Amino acid sequence: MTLLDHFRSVGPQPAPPRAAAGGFDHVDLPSRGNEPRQRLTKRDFEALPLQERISLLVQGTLRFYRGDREIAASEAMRAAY
Amino acid sequence: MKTESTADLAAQAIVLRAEERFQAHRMEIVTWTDRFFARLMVGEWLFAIALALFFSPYAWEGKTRTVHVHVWAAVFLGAAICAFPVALAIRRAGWVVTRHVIAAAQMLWSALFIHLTGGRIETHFHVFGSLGILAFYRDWPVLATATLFVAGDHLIRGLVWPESVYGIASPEWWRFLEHVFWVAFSVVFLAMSCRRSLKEMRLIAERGAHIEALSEAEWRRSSVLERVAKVSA
Repeated sequence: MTLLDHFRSVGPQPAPPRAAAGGFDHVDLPSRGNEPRQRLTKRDFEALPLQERISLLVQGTLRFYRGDREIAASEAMRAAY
Repeated sequence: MKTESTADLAAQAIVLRAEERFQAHRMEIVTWTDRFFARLMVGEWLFAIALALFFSPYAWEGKTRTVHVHVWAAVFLGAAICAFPVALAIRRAGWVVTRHVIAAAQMLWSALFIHLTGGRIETHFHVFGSLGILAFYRDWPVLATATLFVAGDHLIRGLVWPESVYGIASPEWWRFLEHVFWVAFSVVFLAMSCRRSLKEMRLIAERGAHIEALSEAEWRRSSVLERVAKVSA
């Protein structure tokens, strides 16, 4: 097999499935007092200080969404890697 | 109220463990690199001696043959360059001073190699190779130390002994700036790579913390359900 044949056989790779591509799109934070639940994008959530992110995850009050569908926190975190 | 405070304590412990994981990972990398450089420097010492023996083994005064000063320089100056960093790498691996001493010594090795080869321009590539290896530390101030040493060496030797560093007797006074510019050029990108690597290491530690937090939340939920079931029964 020549080098050219090798490259031809490899060909373009199929796109990864949606689930593996990116955990969650946005997350709803619990309401504080009279304030409504706050919605953050994945980027905004990851920009929060680690202490705050971990506190929210431990309290188990976050709601993760992919598109309009709510997903489990474990799924949101697992798929993010 | 009590549940909230224990959740906060659990979160604090998880964050602390994430920081410990990050620091342990970083320490493992710098310790490994210190020991790697200790072996490299011993290898460079032996190579310098071989280089001196190959290029200029003897000096002649009439018909009298003596061992060339380059051979003694390789043996004794080489030993002096590597003794302190190797000792530090063995005794104090991971200490911040160790890696800066190693960076300085590695640049002195470049200087010695350049001198032993009569200022050959090709030997200057040793500087760039060394910078790449120093980037293993993922600690950009180490690269800054190396840059200062290579700049100082080129400036001083360029003024007092230009043949030793450039291979010619009368280079332009600004020649050292040209060399330092290219060193700084590569150091900027290596430093960016170091910072990015550190960021990725922190991300790995944070992702571990996320998983721990999910596990903690799950445990809390199941504990509450068990207590409710017991009360109901």
